[in-house]
Amino acid sequence: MESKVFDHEFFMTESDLFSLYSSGGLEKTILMFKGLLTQDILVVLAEMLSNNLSNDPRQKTTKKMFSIFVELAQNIHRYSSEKFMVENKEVGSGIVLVNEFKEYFTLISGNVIENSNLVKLQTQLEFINTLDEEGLKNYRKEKLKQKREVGDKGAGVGLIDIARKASRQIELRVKQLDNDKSFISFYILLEKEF
Amino acid sequence: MQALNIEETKFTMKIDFDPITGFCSMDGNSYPEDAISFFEPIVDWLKDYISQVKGPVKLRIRLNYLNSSSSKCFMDIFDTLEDYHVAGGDVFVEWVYNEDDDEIHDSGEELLEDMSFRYEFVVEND
Repeated sequence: MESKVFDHEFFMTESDLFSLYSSGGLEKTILMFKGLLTQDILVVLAEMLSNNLSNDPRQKTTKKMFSIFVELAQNIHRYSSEKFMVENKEVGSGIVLVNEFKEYFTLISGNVIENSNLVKLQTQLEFINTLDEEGLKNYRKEKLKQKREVGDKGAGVGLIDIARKASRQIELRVKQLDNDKSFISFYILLEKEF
Repeated sequence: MQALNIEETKFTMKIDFDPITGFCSMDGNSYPEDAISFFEPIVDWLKDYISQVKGPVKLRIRLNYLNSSSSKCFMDIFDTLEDYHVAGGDVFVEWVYNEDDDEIHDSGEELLEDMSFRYEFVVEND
């Protein structure tokens, strides 16, 4: 009979796992998740994040973090093209990563979308990134007053809300996978407010 | 007409709407996965109350957190109340916020500032 001894070749090395766990040194990973972002998981992760920070005097930062995280996660839930049925509901899959640095946090989210939705997203984000505080406020109001597009469960204001809370412009990176699909990722920076 | 009562969850508000007094309360967190479905019975109840009971509406909103799609649904509620007010209905909205919570205060202000019905911001301390 073939022996079932442990074979390292099947796994990443222990140091790979540790470097992922401790992620370098400068930053500290405080949250890492890949998979289906069901509402239950989203709630647990969001609460975990705010509990992690709430002993902190930076209440304001905690609230902003919670809010940016929820918008990113709900974007994945709604717009990821990798969808699966969970308890009769379609749930999107993706990845979220929150890192803490000395003076700021970074939030990164990623998921696959159809290339047909890419241009609309890029155009919207480019426009949002040109707006200042007042511009964002007015654009948000305009969006809230607009009629919803058929089938859209979001409000089209998620990115605007992220932009208003983030300390820098939102960066969108796109990696085209094939003719139909791309992997997109959002990079958000949130400075700690003391 | 029946009262509308919805229990609170970690991500949806406790809803208590009373057709006899017209007192309506929304209290808690609001970041449902599908805000439109959550708010639908609430907006429908208000529309029925406005067309059938035609009484005063006193809406008290007290939030910890609301996501972007809930904001849009609050706009639907306020638009409904605005139409009622313009048609002569008695509308009063109370937006309760914690003294440290500028975000919730500002969310309320941005939703309410173009409305012509009476509204008030109420500060709460911890």
